[in-house]
Amino acid sequence: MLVVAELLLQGLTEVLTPPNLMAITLGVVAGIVLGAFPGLDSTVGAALFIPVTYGMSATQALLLLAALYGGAVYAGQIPAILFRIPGASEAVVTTLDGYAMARKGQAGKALGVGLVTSLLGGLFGVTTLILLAPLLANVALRFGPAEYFALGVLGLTAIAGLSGRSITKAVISALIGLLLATVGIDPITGVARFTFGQSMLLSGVSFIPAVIGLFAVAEVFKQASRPQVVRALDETELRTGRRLRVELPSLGELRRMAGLIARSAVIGAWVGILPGVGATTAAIVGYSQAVRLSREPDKFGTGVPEGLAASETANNAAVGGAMVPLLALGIPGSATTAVMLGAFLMHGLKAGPLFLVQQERLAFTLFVGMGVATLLIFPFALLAVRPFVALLRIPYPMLAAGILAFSAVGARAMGDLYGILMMFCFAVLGYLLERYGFPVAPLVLGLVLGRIVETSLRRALIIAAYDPWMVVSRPITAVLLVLSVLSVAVPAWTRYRTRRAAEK
Amino acid sequence: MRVGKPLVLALCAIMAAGMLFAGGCSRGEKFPSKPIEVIVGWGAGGGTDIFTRNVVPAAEEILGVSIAVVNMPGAASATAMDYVMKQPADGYTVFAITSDILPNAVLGRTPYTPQDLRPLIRAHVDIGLIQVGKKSPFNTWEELVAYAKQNPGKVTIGGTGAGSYDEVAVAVVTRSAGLDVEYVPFDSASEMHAALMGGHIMAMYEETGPAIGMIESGDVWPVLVFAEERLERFPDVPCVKELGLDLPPLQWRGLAVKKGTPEEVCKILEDAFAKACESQQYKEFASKRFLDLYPGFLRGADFAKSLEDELKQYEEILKQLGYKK
Amino acid sequence: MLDGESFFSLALFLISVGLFWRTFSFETMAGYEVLGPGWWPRLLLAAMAVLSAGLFVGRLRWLRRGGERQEETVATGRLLGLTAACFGYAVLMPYLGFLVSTPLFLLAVLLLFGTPRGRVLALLPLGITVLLLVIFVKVLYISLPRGVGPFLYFSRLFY
Repeated sequence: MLVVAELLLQGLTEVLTPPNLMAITLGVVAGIVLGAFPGLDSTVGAALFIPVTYGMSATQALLLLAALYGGAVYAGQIPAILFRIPGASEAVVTTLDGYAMARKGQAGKALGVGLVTSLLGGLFGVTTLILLAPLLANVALRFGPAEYFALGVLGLTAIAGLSGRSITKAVISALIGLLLATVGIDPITGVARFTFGQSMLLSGVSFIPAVIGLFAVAEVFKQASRPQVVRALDETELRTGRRLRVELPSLGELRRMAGLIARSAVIGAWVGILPGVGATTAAIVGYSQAVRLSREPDKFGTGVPEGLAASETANNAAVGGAMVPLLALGIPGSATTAVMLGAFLMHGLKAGPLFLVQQERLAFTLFVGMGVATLLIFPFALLAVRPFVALLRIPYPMLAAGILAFSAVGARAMGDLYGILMMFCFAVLGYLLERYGFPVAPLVLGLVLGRIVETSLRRALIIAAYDPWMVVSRPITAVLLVLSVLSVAVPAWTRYRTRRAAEK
Repeated sequence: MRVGKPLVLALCAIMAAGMLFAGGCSRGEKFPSKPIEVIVGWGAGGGTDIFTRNVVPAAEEILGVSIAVVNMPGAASATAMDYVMKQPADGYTVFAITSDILPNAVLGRTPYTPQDLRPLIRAHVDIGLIQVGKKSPFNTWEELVAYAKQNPGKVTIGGTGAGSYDEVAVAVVTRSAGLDVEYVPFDSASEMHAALMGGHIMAMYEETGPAIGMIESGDVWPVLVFAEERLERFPDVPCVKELGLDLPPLQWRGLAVKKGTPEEVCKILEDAFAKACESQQYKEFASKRFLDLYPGFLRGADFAKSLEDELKQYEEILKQLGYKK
Repeated sequence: MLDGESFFSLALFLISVGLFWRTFSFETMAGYEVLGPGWWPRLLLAAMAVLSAGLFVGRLRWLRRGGERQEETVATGRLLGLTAACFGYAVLMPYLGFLVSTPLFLLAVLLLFGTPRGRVLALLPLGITVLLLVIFVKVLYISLPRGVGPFLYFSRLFY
């Protein structure tokens, strides 16, 4: 323990040298800007900045990229809360309760809760990284295809809680998401599915254009469908003359959500550690857990701070989590850390089990740097939020034009030639679903988890020579599957009981 | 006419913007006289993307125009291929190609074949290896063969993608060794690495670069090299040729333009990129990513010839594997 | 007598049946007979067909029993106009290029939503377009479509 403290102190002095501090600041700022821009996320950001880091020392390069990662994952929530545009894929779940809160006139509070829980999540992720990296990395290795499958199933069970008024509609919505996830080249056999001879469908549904359409553009459609167009998105100021600002949650509020935040942080960090899934899945699994364990699951999605807190804690905790297997095993835990692995190689470093031993100093500098970066997000976030908030006051027609234009380039930012077309298709789908009372959240769940569930199951079956028992009887798989069954069955049973009691 | 004044303002804005972006409008006869785009069929940060971004700066200097790297990920670069074929054959659209264009053509993921391209250079060959980990039931290729012979269909070998280069390479080698193994396709390499270290699969096909951290720590080690000769880097690891097994096609990265591009333009591009592969930055990149373990550089004509041979090889193997089209 | 919701669930049902049938034309591969590419989609589609049929029948019954339709009044014209503008934009952008198609699209959006002043109408679409162009092409080096033919030449003047 003393050794760790000493190393941390050493790391801190290293981080506080001007060049390193510069790199961190640059990373945080770039991350926030890119993250808040629809369609640009930490993966693109890291790829764009790798050439910039060639001229830096290895320490600076890694600090910059790690800070950028944290900043981008945080900033995705800003447009998600204010305009229903998921700024980065990690913020998709944040959109659900964040935007609903903003529409209830609680935009400032939503931004505050989002910021604070992001920081808590981020710090938890870094702490996990510092204390438990080698240990957890080895536990993560126990997760094979069978376990991924069970994890995906557990994530899907949240649909039961997200159902709103009609469970049938929620399940249909989830099925649509799961089906959309099957479009394209089947990852197990390599044959095309549901492509109808269109090359644009071969690579499947691209996630970013899909969610931008489903949320941001569908919302513009919804506003357009109203006989009377709103004057501005947030009329509070027009009415009360009070400026909207970030309202940080009080200690009491945080204490009330303490359990939920702690659980989300643990889940987020853990999902982040698993290679092959990243912060987006972390947010979904975190949210799903919050819904399942809530006493009022029906309130989720209608604009409760709990939903926002679960998602933002989990996805920011996943940042530190994703660094665990990268540093401890040399296996990136997410798409962004996969790009960072490239940066390691370019600087002659070898991420892997030896890294933490041979490059102890660098590793701890990186750890402390990530912690400092997380703290630095706070002041920069307060600055970054201002121009966005100002946009709420401009007349809605102009805002709508802006939202559509930024969404369109966002959908194309990853180089997806058909991204814009796909975005508008999803906008129509999202509009119709909402109009006829189908919740959109289960669709997103299905879209993210569909591939994990299907391909992991098939992969697991190939490994088990098609013996299903061999798959489900693995201990971790079995536990996760039993939990899934329970989380569907228990609420159903209680609902049944209360209804019977009411009838008597 | 109420919009009169704004319209004038708007036109002024266009002109101002035009001056801001000035350049690129002079059209001389000399090639190249405007910016070139290199299309990468993979996402930013991937192996092919990084390769392109490291060869481009030197080429920019040689050609004297700016070269933009454009990512168009999707369907193992099949989408990008379609895009390239729809551009004019004027040399301003260069396509960063990988071995995957061959199975893509054979499997009908794109209507175009490598014959529709004019290859410029093959920059390098990324030699693949069969690698095993601490939890694998065997430590060497010999032991793997013995185990597979005793337990037919039980040995699982991971690779990335289905109907991909990895699957073809693994099939060629294991079939010629008379082994019955299961190929397990993964979406992401990192998930596969974790699966090998966790003992969920018994072996994997992977190149050196992505696995180097695990190799150096001794958690994972290569048992078979997919090349004609042993690699200097791994002198104790046998190669396919010395064991009398069939040599699979190679995994490479290169550059091409659409067929029909004027030959003098192709020549200029070929020379420029060939020279760019000699640059300090590219050389450093290649050595740090272990892409110089094998002499893989080829120029246009030789590259075209090797593509033709490889296409036949892919057709045959994929048919044997049960893929139609 | 069908209302929007029943029509939507009927459409879902028909689509799932159609796609279910479609899964049988997936290529099958030797060695994957047990769990081929069609297995999982078929499972999902079967479930969706059953559920959407149930939803449709339930809604019909409810309507027949005189359930209220309670449909909100919808500005159909504006909604359809916006949809047309969006798809027109997506389809035309590869031909007209980003620089030409975007201001036109944004102009259409502003007109559909009803904009107060002519100056906004002329400047905002161009302003947003130029801003995005600068961010993407000049700062981030991400390419945007330039269009074909004369539009290609026009776009090349700027980026």
